[in-house]
Amino acid sequence: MSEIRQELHIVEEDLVLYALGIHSDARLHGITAHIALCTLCRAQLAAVDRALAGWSASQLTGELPEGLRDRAIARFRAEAAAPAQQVRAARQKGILLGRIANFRESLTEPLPFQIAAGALIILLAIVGWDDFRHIFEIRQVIHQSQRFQTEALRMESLEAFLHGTGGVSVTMHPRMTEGGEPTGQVLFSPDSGQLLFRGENLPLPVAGKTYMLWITPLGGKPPVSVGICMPDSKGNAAIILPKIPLSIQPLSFTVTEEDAAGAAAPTGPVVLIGQ
Amino acid sequence: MTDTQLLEAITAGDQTAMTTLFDRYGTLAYLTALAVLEDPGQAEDAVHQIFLTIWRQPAGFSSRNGSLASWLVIAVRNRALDIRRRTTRQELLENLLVAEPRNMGRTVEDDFLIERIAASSNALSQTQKDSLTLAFFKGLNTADIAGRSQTSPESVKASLCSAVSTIRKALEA
Repeated sequence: MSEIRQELHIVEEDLVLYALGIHSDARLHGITAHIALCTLCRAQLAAVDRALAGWSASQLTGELPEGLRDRAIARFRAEAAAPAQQVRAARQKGILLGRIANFRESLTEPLPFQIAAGALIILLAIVGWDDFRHIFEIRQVIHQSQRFQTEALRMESLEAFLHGTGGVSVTMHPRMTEGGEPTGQVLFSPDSGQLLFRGENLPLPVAGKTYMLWITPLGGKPPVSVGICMPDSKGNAAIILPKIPLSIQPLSFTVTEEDAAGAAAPTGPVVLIGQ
Repeated sequence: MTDTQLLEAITAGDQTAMTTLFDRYGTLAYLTALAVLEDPGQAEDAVHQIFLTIWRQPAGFSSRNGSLASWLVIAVRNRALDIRRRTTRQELLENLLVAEPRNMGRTVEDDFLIERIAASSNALSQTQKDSLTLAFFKGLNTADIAGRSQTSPESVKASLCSAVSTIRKALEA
Protein backbone atom coordinates (compact mmCIF):
# COMPACT_ATOMS: atom_id res chain seq x y z
CA MET A 1 0.00 0.00 0.00
CA SER A 2 2.80 2.37 0.90
CA GLU A 3 4.49 1.67 -2.45
CA ILE A 4 1.34 2.71 -4.29
CA ARG A 5 1.15 5.87 -2.21
CA GLN A 6 4.73 6.73 -3.03
CA GLU A 7 4.03 6.41 -6.74
CA LEU A 8 0.98 8.64 -6.62
CA HIS A 9 2.06 11.29 -4.09
CA ILE A 10 5.10 13.30 -3.19
CA VAL A 11 7.31 11.38 -0.79
CA GLU A 12 7.92 12.93 2.63
CA GLU A 13 11.60 13.67 1.95
CA ASP A 14 10.68 15.79 -1.07
CA LEU A 15 7.90 17.54 0.87
CA VAL A 16 10.31 18.46 3.65
CA LEU A 17 12.85 19.87 1.17
CA TYR A 18 10.05 21.69 -0.65
CA ALA A 19 8.75 23.21 2.58
CA LEU A 20 12.26 24.30 3.45
CA GLY A 21 12.57 25.88 0.00
CA ILE A 22 15.73 23.93 -0.77
CA HIS A 23 14.42 21.47 -3.33
CA SER A 24 16.33 21.24 -6.59
CA ASP A 25 14.96 23.59 -9.22
CA ALA A 26 14.63 20.76 -11.74
CA ARG A 27 11.61 19.24 -9.98
CA LEU A 28 10.21 22.34 -8.30
CA HIS A 29 7.69 23.07 -11.04
CA GLY A 30 6.35 19.52 -11.09
CA ILE A 31 6.03 19.37 -7.31
CA THR A 32 4.23 22.72 -7.26
CA ALA A 33 1.81 21.46 -9.88
CA HIS A 34 1.20 18.23 -7.97
CA ILE A 35 0.60 20.08 -4.69
CA ALA A 36 -1.79 22.41 -6.45
CA LEU A 37 -3.84 19.44 -7.61
CA CYS A 38 -3.50 17.01 -4.72
CA THR A 39 -5.44 17.66 -1.50
CA LEU A 40 -3.56 14.97 0.39
CA CYS A 41 -0.12 16.38 -0.46
CA ARG A 42 -1.33 19.90 0.39
CA ALA A 43 -2.40 18.65 3.80
CA GLN A 44 0.93 16.87 4.23
CA LEU A 45 2.80 20.04 3.26
CA ALA A 46 0.75 22.05 5.75
CA ALA A 47 1.66 19.53 8.47
CA VAL A 48 5.36 19.84 7.58
CA ASP A 49 5.08 23.65 7.64
CA ARG A 50 3.43 23.44 11.01
CA ALA A 51 6.18 21.17 12.36
CA LEU A 52 8.89 23.50 11.04
CA ALA A 53 7.15 26.59 12.43
CA GLY A 54 6.67 24.89 15.80
CA TRP A 55 10.24 23.66 15.90
CA SER A 56 11.65 27.08 15.02
CA ALA A 57 9.46 28.71 17.70
CA SER A 58 10.83 26.24 20.26
CA GLN A 59 14.40 27.22 19.34
CA LEU A 60 13.94 30.94 19.81
CA THR A 61 14.41 32.90 22.98
CA GLY A 62 14.52 36.63 23.45
CA GLU A 63 12.39 39.72 23.35
CA LEU A 64 11.60 42.53 20.98
CA PRO A 65 14.20 45.30 21.01
CA GLU A 66 13.07 48.46 22.71
CA GLY A 67 11.07 50.71 20.44
CA LEU A 68 10.47 48.13 17.69
CA ARG A 69 6.79 47.71 18.64
CA ASP A 70 6.26 51.48 18.57
CA ARG A 71 8.04 51.78 15.23
CA ALA A 72 5.95 48.96 13.76
CA ILE A 73 2.70 50.50 14.95
CA ALA A 74 3.80 53.90 13.66
CA ARG A 75 4.37 52.30 10.26
CA PHE A 76 0.88 50.77 10.20
CA ARG A 77 -0.56 54.19 11.07
CA ALA A 78 1.57 55.86 8.40
CA GLU A 79 0.41 53.25 5.91
CA ALA A 80 -3.22 53.85 6.90
CA ALA A 81 -2.69 57.58 6.36
CA ALA A 82 -0.93 57.05 3.02
CA PRO A 83 -3.63 58.64 0.79
CA ALA A 84 -3.40 61.93 2.70
CA GLN A 85 0.38 61.90 2.29
CA GLN A 86 0.04 61.35 -1.45
CA VAL A 87 -2.13 64.46 -1.65
CA ARG A 88 0.55 66.42 0.23
CA ALA A 89 3.26 65.12 -2.12
CA ALA A 90 1.23 66.25 -5.13
CA ARG A 91 0.86 69.65 -3.55
CA GLN A 92 4.62 69.91 -3.07
CA LYS A 93 5.17 69.22 -6.77
CA GLY A 94 2.81 72.14 -7.54
CA ILE A 95 4.96 74.42 -5.38
CA LEU A 96 8.08 73.36 -7.31
CA LEU A 97 6.46 74.28 -10.64
CA GLY A 98 5.49 77.66 -9.22
CA ARG A 99 9.13 78.27 -8.30
CA ILE A 100 10.29 77.55 -11.84
CA ALA A 101 7.81 80.13 -13.24
CA ASN A 102 9.06 82.79 -10.81
CA PHE A 103 12.64 82.06 -11.81
CA ARG A 104 11.96 82.93 -15.46
CA GLU A 105 10.66 86.36 -14.41
CA SER A 106 13.86 86.99 -12.39
CA LEU A 107 16.03 86.81 -15.55
CA THR A 108 15.10 90.45 -16.34
CA GLU A 109 16.48 91.62 -12.97
CA PRO A 110 19.88 93.50 -12.34
CA LEU A 111 23.30 91.73 -11.95
CA PRO A 112 23.20 90.81 -8.22
CA PHE A 113 19.84 89.25 -8.77
CA GLN A 114 21.17 87.46 -11.86
CA ILE A 115 24.03 86.02 -9.76
CA ALA A 116 21.47 84.89 -7.28
CA ALA A 117 19.47 83.51 -10.19
CA GLY A 118 22.58 81.62 -11.41
CA ALA A 119 22.95 80.01 -8.01
CA LEU A 120 19.28 79.20 -8.15
CA ILE A 121 19.73 77.54 -11.55
CA ILE A 122 22.41 75.27 -10.10
CA LEU A 123 20.21 74.52 -7.12
CA LEU A 124 17.25 73.80 -9.34
CA ALA A 125 19.40 71.58 -11.56
CA ILE A 126 20.35 69.55 -8.48
CA VAL A 127 16.76 69.44 -7.29
CA GLY A 128 15.61 68.60 -10.81
CA TRP A 129 18.15 65.80 -11.11
CA ASP A 130 17.09 64.50 -7.72
CA ASP A 131 13.45 64.62 -8.83
CA PHE A 132 14.33 62.86 -12.07
CA ARG A 133 16.20 60.18 -10.15
CA HIS A 134 13.23 59.73 -7.86
CA ILE A 135 10.89 59.42 -10.83
CA PHE A 136 13.19 56.76 -12.25
CA GLU A 137 13.24 54.92 -8.92
CA ILE A 138 9.47 55.18 -8.59
CA ARG A 139 9.07 53.75 -12.08
CA GLN A 140 11.24 50.82 -11.09
CA VAL A 141 9.18 50.28 -7.95
CA ILE A 142 5.96 50.49 -9.97
CA HIS A 143 7.33 47.95 -12.42
CA GLN A 144 8.31 45.62 -9.57
CA SER A 145 4.97 46.16 -7.85
CA GLN A 146 3.12 45.33 -11.08
CA ARG A 147 5.16 42.15 -11.42
CA PHE A 148 4.29 41.09 -7.85
CA GLN A 149 0.67 42.05 -8.44
CA THR A 150 0.53 39.90 -11.56
CA GLU A 151 2.10 37.01 -9.66
CA ALA A 152 -0.30 37.50 -6.74
CA LEU A 153 -3.30 37.62 -9.08
CA ARG A 154 -2.10 34.46 -10.77
CA MET A 155 -1.81 32.66 -7.42
CA GLU A 156 -5.20 34.00 -6.27
CA SER A 157 -6.66 32.81 -9.53
CA LEU A 158 -5.06 29.39 -9.01
CA GLU A 159 -6.38 29.20 -5.45
CA ALA A 160 -9.89 30.21 -6.52
CA PHE A 161 -9.76 27.67 -9.33
CA LEU A 162 -8.72 24.88 -6.96
CA HIS A 163 -11.45 25.72 -4.47
CA GLY A 164 -14.10 26.36 -7.09
CA THR A 165 -16.79 24.05 -8.36
CA GLY A 166 -17.88 23.22 -11.87
CA GLY A 167 -14.43 22.11 -12.99
CA VAL A 168 -13.71 18.96 -14.93
CA SER A 169 -11.11 16.55 -13.61
CA VAL A 170 -9.76 14.02 -16.08
CA THR A 171 -7.19 11.30 -15.55
CA MET A 172 -5.28 10.49 -18.71
CA HIS A 173 -3.73 7.15 -19.61
CA PRO A 174 -1.60 5.89 -22.46
CA ARG A 175 -3.71 5.21 -25.52
CA MET A 176 -1.85 1.97 -26.06
CA THR A 177 -1.41 0.35 -22.66
CA GLU A 178 2.27 -0.46 -22.96
CA GLY A 179 2.94 -1.13 -19.30
CA GLY A 180 0.55 1.66 -18.32
CA GLU A 181 3.25 3.79 -16.72
CA PRO A 182 2.83 7.35 -18.05
CA THR A 183 -0.14 9.15 -16.54
CA GLY A 184 -1.60 12.61 -16.72
CA GLN A 185 -4.14 14.60 -14.78
CA VAL A 186 -6.11 17.56 -16.03
CA LEU A 187 -8.23 19.92 -13.98
CA PHE A 188 -10.21 22.20 -16.28
CA SER A 189 -12.91 24.82 -15.83
CA PRO A 190 -14.75 25.54 -19.12
CA ASP A 191 -16.29 28.73 -17.69
CA SER A 192 -13.05 30.38 -16.65
CA GLY A 193 -10.80 28.69 -19.20
CA GLN A 194 -8.41 27.72 -16.39
CA LEU A 195 -6.48 24.51 -16.64
CA LEU A 196 -3.89 22.56 -14.72
CA PHE A 197 -2.06 19.60 -16.23
CA ARG A 198 0.36 17.29 -14.51
CA GLY A 199 2.07 14.39 -16.27
CA GLU A 200 4.15 11.68 -14.64
CA ASN A 201 6.51 9.03 -15.94
CA LEU A 202 6.49 10.51 -19.41
CA PRO A 203 9.41 9.16 -21.46
CA LEU A 204 11.72 11.82 -22.87
CA PRO A 205 10.70 12.47 -26.48
CA VAL A 206 13.25 11.82 -29.20
CA ALA A 207 15.51 14.70 -30.24
CA GLY A 208 13.65 17.45 -32.07
CA LYS A 209 10.30 16.38 -30.61
CA THR A 210 8.17 17.51 -27.68
CA TYR A 211 4.78 16.78 -26.18
CA MET A 212 1.72 18.97 -26.60
CA LEU A 213 -1.58 18.92 -24.73
CA TRP A 214 -4.81 19.41 -26.70
CA ILE A 215 -8.45 19.87 -25.82
CA THR A 216 -10.85 18.30 -28.29
CA PRO A 217 -14.13 20.23 -27.98
CA LEU A 218 -17.59 18.73 -28.26
CA GLY A 219 -19.41 19.07 -31.57
CA GLY A 220 -16.61 17.96 -33.86
CA LYS A 221 -14.65 21.18 -33.60
CA PRO A 222 -10.88 20.99 -34.20
CA PRO A 223 -8.57 20.39 -31.19
CA VAL A 224 -7.35 23.46 -29.33
CA SER A 225 -3.70 23.66 -28.32
CA VAL A 226 -3.11 24.05 -24.57
CA GLY A 227 0.65 24.17 -24.82
CA ILE A 228 3.91 22.29 -24.77
CA CYS A 229 4.62 19.96 -21.85
CA MET A 230 8.24 18.88 -21.95
CA PRO A 231 9.02 16.36 -19.19
CA ASP A 232 12.04 16.71 -16.94
CA SER A 233 14.59 13.97 -16.43
CA LYS A 234 12.21 12.22 -13.99
CA GLY A 235 9.39 12.21 -16.52
CA ASN A 236 7.35 14.92 -14.80
CA ALA A 237 5.68 17.66 -16.80
CA ALA A 238 3.25 20.41 -15.88
CA ILE A 239 1.19 23.17 -17.47
CA ILE A 240 -0.23 25.69 -15.03
CA LEU A 241 -2.96 28.14 -16.03
CA PRO A 242 -2.11 28.52 -19.72
CA LYS A 243 -3.94 31.05 -21.87
CA ILE A 244 -6.75 29.24 -23.63
CA PRO A 245 -10.08 30.44 -25.05
CA LEU A 246 -13.15 30.55 -22.80
CA SER A 247 -16.22 28.32 -23.02
CA ILE A 248 -14.63 25.26 -24.59
CA GLN A 249 -16.79 22.26 -23.73
CA PRO A 250 -14.26 19.43 -23.71
CA LEU A 251 -14.86 16.05 -25.24
CA SER A 252 -11.36 14.78 -24.49
CA PHE A 253 -7.82 15.76 -23.60
CA THR A 254 -4.90 14.42 -25.56
CA VAL A 255 -1.12 14.56 -25.29
CA THR A 256 0.64 14.01 -28.59
CA GLU A 257 4.25 13.97 -29.67
CA GLU A 258 4.99 16.87 -32.00
CA ASP A 259 7.94 18.77 -33.46
CA ALA A 260 9.87 20.75 -30.84
CA ALA A 261 8.72 24.02 -32.43
CA GLY A 262 5.11 23.06 -31.71
CA ALA A 263 2.20 22.38 -34.02
CA ALA A 264 -1.04 24.15 -34.92
CA ALA A 265 -2.96 20.86 -34.90
CA PRO A 266 -2.15 17.43 -33.50
CA THR A 267 -0.23 15.39 -36.03
CA GLY A 268 2.00 13.08 -34.01
CA PRO A 269 1.28 9.88 -32.12
CA VAL A 270 -1.05 10.06 -29.09
CA VAL A 271 0.82 9.52 -25.83
CA LEU A 272 -2.00 10.12 -23.34
CA ILE A 273 -5.72 10.49 -23.72
CA GLY A 274 -8.59 11.04 -21.30
CA GLN A 275 -12.23 12.04 -21.47
CA MET B 1 -10.21 37.30 19.77
CA THR B 2 -9.23 34.58 17.30
CA ASP B 3 -6.85 35.12 14.39
CA THR B 4 -9.76 34.93 12.00
CA GLN B 5 -11.63 37.68 13.87
CA LEU B 6 -8.45 39.75 13.98
CA LEU B 7 -7.96 39.42 10.24
CA GLU B 8 -11.59 40.40 9.64
CA ALA B 9 -11.07 43.50 11.78
CA ILE B 10 -7.84 44.32 9.92
CA THR B 11 -9.68 43.91 6.62
CA ALA B 12 -12.13 46.52 7.90
CA GLY B 13 -9.16 48.87 8.52
CA ASP B 14 -9.05 48.48 12.30
CA GLN B 15 -5.57 49.64 13.38
CA THR B 16 -6.12 48.38 16.92
CA ALA B 17 -6.55 44.86 15.56
CA MET B 18 -3.24 45.25 13.74
CA THR B 19 -1.60 46.26 17.00
CA THR B 20 -3.11 43.20 18.71
CA LEU B 21 -1.81 40.99 15.93
CA PHE B 22 1.65 42.47 16.30
CA ASP B 23 1.54 42.00 20.07
CA ARG B 24 0.57 38.38 19.52
CA TYR B 25 3.14 37.42 16.92
CA GLY B 26 5.63 40.28 16.64
CA THR B 27 8.17 38.74 18.99
CA LEU B 28 7.98 35.35 17.30
CA ALA B 29 8.36 36.96 13.88
CA TYR B 30 11.26 39.14 14.97
CA LEU B 31 13.16 36.31 16.64
CA THR B 32 12.68 34.13 13.55
CA ALA B 33 14.02 36.88 11.29
CA LEU B 34 16.89 37.56 13.68
CA ALA B 35 17.87 33.89 13.73
CA VAL B 36 18.11 33.97 9.93
CA LEU B 37 19.73 37.36 9.44
CA GLU B 38 21.71 37.83 12.66
CA ASP B 39 21.25 41.55 12.13
CA PRO B 40 18.69 43.39 14.29
CA GLY B 41 18.13 46.15 11.69
CA GLN B 42 17.52 43.75 8.82
CA ALA B 43 15.38 41.52 11.04
CA GLU B 44 13.22 44.52 11.89
CA ASP B 45 12.87 45.31 8.18
CA ALA B 46 11.78 41.75 7.42
CA VAL B 47 9.17 41.87 10.20
CA HIS B 48 7.86 45.24 9.02
CA GLN B 49 7.56 43.94 5.46
CA ILE B 50 5.56 40.88 6.48
CA PHE B 51 3.21 42.75 8.81
CA LEU B 52 2.70 45.49 6.24
CA THR B 53 1.82 42.75 3.74
CA ILE B 54 -0.87 41.55 6.15
CA TRP B 55 -2.08 45.12 6.67
CA ARG B 56 -2.28 45.75 2.94
CA GLN B 57 -3.76 42.40 1.92
CA PRO B 58 -5.46 40.80 4.92
CA ALA B 59 -7.97 39.08 2.65
CA GLY B 60 -5.11 37.05 1.23
CA PHE B 61 -4.77 35.30 4.57
CA SER B 62 -8.41 34.96 5.54
CA SER B 63 -8.74 31.75 3.58
CA ARG B 64 -6.00 30.22 5.67
CA ASN B 65 -8.10 30.31 8.82
CA GLY B 66 -6.28 29.12 11.85
CA SER B 67 -2.84 28.78 10.31
CA LEU B 68 -1.67 32.36 10.62
CA ALA B 69 1.08 31.61 13.14
CA SER B 70 2.76 28.95 11.03
CA TRP B 71 2.27 31.10 7.94
CA LEU B 72 3.91 34.02 9.69
CA VAL B 73 6.92 32.02 10.85
CA ILE B 74 7.50 30.51 7.42
CA ALA B 75 6.81 33.80 5.62
CA VAL B 76 9.16 35.79 7.85
CA ARG B 77 11.80 33.11 7.51
CA ASN B 78 11.45 33.14 3.71
CA ARG B 79 11.49 36.94 3.58
CA ALA B 80 14.58 37.02 5.77
CA LEU B 81 16.28 34.48 3.50
CA ASP B 82 15.28 36.62 0.52
CA ILE B 83 16.96 39.59 2.14
CA ARG B 84 20.04 37.44 2.57
CA ARG B 85 20.00 36.15 -0.97
CA ARG B 86 18.45 39.22 -2.59
CA THR B 87 16.10 37.02 -4.53
CA THR B 88 12.34 36.47 -4.59
CA ARG B 89 12.42 32.77 -5.28
CA GLN B 90 10.43 31.98 -2.16
CA GLU B 91 7.39 34.07 -3.11
CA LEU B 92 5.79 31.13 -4.75
CA LEU B 93 6.17 29.00 -1.64
CA GLU B 94 4.73 31.70 0.59
CA ASN B 95 1.67 31.95 -1.56
CA LEU B 96 1.13 28.23 -1.72
CA LEU B 97 0.95 27.67 2.02
CA VAL B 98 -2.39 26.16 2.76
CA ALA B 99 -4.95 25.84 5.49
CA GLU B 100 -4.87 22.92 7.85
CA PRO B 101 -7.57 21.38 10.00
CA ARG B 102 -6.19 22.26 13.44
CA ASN B 103 -6.19 25.75 14.81
CA MET B 104 -2.62 26.95 14.56
CA GLY B 105 -3.61 30.42 15.61
CA ARG B 106 -2.72 29.89 19.19
CA THR B 107 -0.86 26.64 19.13
CA VAL B 108 2.57 27.78 18.00
CA GLU B 109 2.88 30.15 20.90
CA ASP B 110 1.16 27.84 23.31
CA ASP B 111 3.68 27.13 26.04
CA PHE B 112 2.66 23.53 26.51
CA LEU B 113 3.05 22.81 22.82
CA ILE B 114 6.38 24.56 22.63
CA GLU B 115 7.54 22.46 25.57
CA ARG B 116 6.39 19.33 23.81
CA ILE B 117 8.21 20.31 20.62
CA ALA B 118 11.28 21.29 22.61
CA ALA B 119 11.23 17.87 24.28
CA SER B 120 11.01 16.18 20.90
CA SER B 121 13.79 18.44 19.67
CA ASN B 122 15.98 17.18 22.49
CA ALA B 123 15.42 13.69 21.18
CA LEU B 124 16.98 14.68 17.87
CA SER B 125 20.60 13.78 17.22
CA GLN B 126 23.12 16.60 16.97
CA THR B 127 23.41 15.93 13.23
CA GLN B 128 19.65 16.30 12.82
CA LYS B 129 19.58 19.51 14.85
CA ASP B 130 22.48 20.98 12.89
CA SER B 131 20.96 20.02 9.54
CA LEU B 132 17.58 21.49 10.47
CA THR B 133 19.14 24.69 11.80
CA LEU B 134 21.25 25.19 8.67
CA ALA B 135 18.36 24.41 6.33
CA PHE B 136 15.67 26.42 8.13
CA PHE B 137 17.54 29.42 9.48
CA LYS B 138 20.32 29.67 6.89
CA GLY B 139 18.51 28.32 3.83
CA LEU B 140 21.36 25.99 2.94
CA ASN B 141 20.55 23.13 0.57
CA THR B 142 21.45 19.51 1.17
CA ALA B 143 24.70 19.74 -0.81
CA ASP B 144 25.87 22.78 1.18
CA ILE B 145 25.00 21.12 4.48
CA ALA B 146 26.70 17.91 3.37
CA GLY B 147 29.83 19.92 2.51
CA ARG B 148 29.88 21.40 5.99
CA SER B 149 29.23 18.18 7.83
CA GLN B 150 31.37 16.01 5.52
CA THR B 151 28.57 13.66 4.70
CA SER B 152 26.45 12.99 1.60
CA PRO B 153 23.44 15.05 0.46
CA GLU B 154 21.35 11.87 0.70
CA SER B 155 22.27 11.52 4.39
CA VAL B 156 21.34 15.14 4.99
CA LYS B 157 18.02 14.62 3.23
CA ALA B 158 17.27 11.56 5.36
CA SER B 159 18.37 13.41 8.47
CA LEU B 160 16.07 16.37 7.76
CA CYS B 161 13.17 14.10 6.96
CA SER B 162 13.51 12.02 10.13
CA ALA B 163 13.88 15.20 12.23
CA VAL B 164 10.67 16.69 10.83
CA SER B 165 8.93 13.35 11.24
CA THR B 166 9.91 13.25 14.92
CA ILE B 167 8.57 16.77 15.47
CA ARG B 168 5.36 15.99 13.61
CA LYS B 169 4.78 12.97 15.82
CA ALA B 170 5.25 15.13 18.91
CA LEU B 171 2.75 17.67 17.56
CA GLU B 172 0.19 15.06 16.62
CA ALA B 173 0.50 13.03 19.82
